[in-house]
Amino acid sequence: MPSSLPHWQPKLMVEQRNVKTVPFVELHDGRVQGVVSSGSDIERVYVSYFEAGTMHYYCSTNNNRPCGGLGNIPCKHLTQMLSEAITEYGIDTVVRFLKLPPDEANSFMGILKQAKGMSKSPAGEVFSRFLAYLQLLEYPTSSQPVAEMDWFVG
Amino acid sequence: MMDASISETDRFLAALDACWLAGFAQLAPEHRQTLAKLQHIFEGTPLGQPLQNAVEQLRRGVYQPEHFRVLAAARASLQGAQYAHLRQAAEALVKRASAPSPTPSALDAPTAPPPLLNGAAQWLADLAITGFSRLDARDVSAFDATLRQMRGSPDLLPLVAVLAGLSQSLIGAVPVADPASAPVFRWVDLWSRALIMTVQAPPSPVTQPTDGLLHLMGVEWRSQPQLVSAVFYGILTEGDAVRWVRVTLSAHKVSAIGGDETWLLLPQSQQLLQALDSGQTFQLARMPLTPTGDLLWDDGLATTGAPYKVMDIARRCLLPGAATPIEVAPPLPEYRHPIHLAVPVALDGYQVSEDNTLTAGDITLPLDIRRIAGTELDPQHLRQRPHMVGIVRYDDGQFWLQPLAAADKKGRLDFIGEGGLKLFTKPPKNSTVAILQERASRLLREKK
Repeated sequence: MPSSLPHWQPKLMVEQRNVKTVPFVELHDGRVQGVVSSGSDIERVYVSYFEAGTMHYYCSTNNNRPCGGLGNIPCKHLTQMLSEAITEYGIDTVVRFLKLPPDEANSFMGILKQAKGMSKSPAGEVFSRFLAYLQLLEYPTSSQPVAEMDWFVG
Repeated sequence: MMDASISETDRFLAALDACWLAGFAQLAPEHRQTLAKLQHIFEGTPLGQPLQNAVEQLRRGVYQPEHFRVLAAARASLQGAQYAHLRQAAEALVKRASAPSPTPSALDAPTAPPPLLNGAAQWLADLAITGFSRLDARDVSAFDATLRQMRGSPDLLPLVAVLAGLSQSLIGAVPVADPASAPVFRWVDLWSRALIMTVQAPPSPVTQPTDGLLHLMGVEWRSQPQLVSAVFYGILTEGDAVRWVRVTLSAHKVSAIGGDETWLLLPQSQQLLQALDSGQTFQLARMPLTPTGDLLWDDGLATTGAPYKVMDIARRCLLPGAATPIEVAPPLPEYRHPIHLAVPVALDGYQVSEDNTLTAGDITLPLDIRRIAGTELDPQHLRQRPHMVGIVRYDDGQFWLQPLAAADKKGRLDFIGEGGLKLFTKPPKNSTVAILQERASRLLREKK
């Protein structure tokens, strides 16, 4: 019989996300992308991404200055962002989203090895998605009935 | 026990939903036959003429949201009929006399919907035209900006819940690799409810103040990546009236927040969790109550009162065939959908089998593990607890039991949210919630 509820699957996120270092990571518009805090300056953040399919990567400040750590291999921010993406979404989802061969890219290092050079793209859109994400925490709570949430169990 | 028409309707709806999978711009002859059958079912009813017109317009390629809305209304009314049968059957199962159905609330003449609602209706129409099996991520995310704006209006929260949930479920599934295993029924359920809700701005709830005494009975947790909602169920006594009531608390959230920490987004829940844990009643003072049994919680209108034992009250009012009649208000007509079926029951001295089926006397129900696995009410805990309060639900062709709270022989209570209460009592130094909230207030204020 047809079901109104989602297929049951065991809950992800047994491990807690490190939001202090990586406050935001998402799988969006063909990229695993996110925002990484600077280790030295509390006011500065880095915007990093890996592109699905090509596995090109890039990292810059939110003011579009390229990250000093970028080179032939992904910088520290990119590796931190990837690691948190795996924590939040699970490795299978990340590998599938990046369109990588599952048998070769079955671990954090396995994914990193697939990285293939830089592609440059402005940080603005990711940063504004980050702000919109944080905005969710600024809305007031509600005490009105929301029967519609009956579709979203557990 | 269960009416045969229930499964017949389920099968028909599954066939009908194939239209949404294929897309209304690409309907095959078998889809048109199913639509003709739908028309036939409604012939001679108030929906008959509008439905004939809508199907005809869609056949001609006039894909207006209002035509799709008639299909949504027809689908919802078949599910409304299912709801009525299911409610009777579930009440017979727990040996409770059926409450008389209230007369449907007179609908106000629809006022013009705000532009945001039109935007949502257009997106829903676009999904149906393209078909779930042909969607790509861009079709889904095209709606992100409108949805973000809608989140800013507290009145639209119920609609936001459906739209955000549908969008989230689709984005994780498109492009659909295997249409046969896609949760199409669920998608069309959400699509239909959302499209019906876009017809007009939500009416404000009708309420009456209550001065009753509230005994909380348990908690249900519902969540999406960007929205969570806790429902506290309780028994409200006021004079001779004994009512089954709900308190709902909801908050927007971000996907990085998970587990017990999510409770920290609902600060008002601390008082309720505490009262449930320590078995303290709430004396209400003019707390708004809707005819559907929803208390609009305002902690300024509740003071903690005398102690009580959850299972004592539950057994008196909710055991199958209990002597004390309890009033379980039916939902508003537009909410008569099997997903909203929730018939409370208390059970004693039951067995829970290896395959998570509960047997208590002549009542046998599978436990709905989707709602309890890994929580404070995991089946392995329930096997050690002889007393339970729960809700009879329906999905997937059968009734399910959703536990809300369970107690051991000494009356010690287990309920979902105990982990959250621990965090409230002893707040962690660096919670994900606190770090992100601090970040939000710094970055978003800075911008202004």
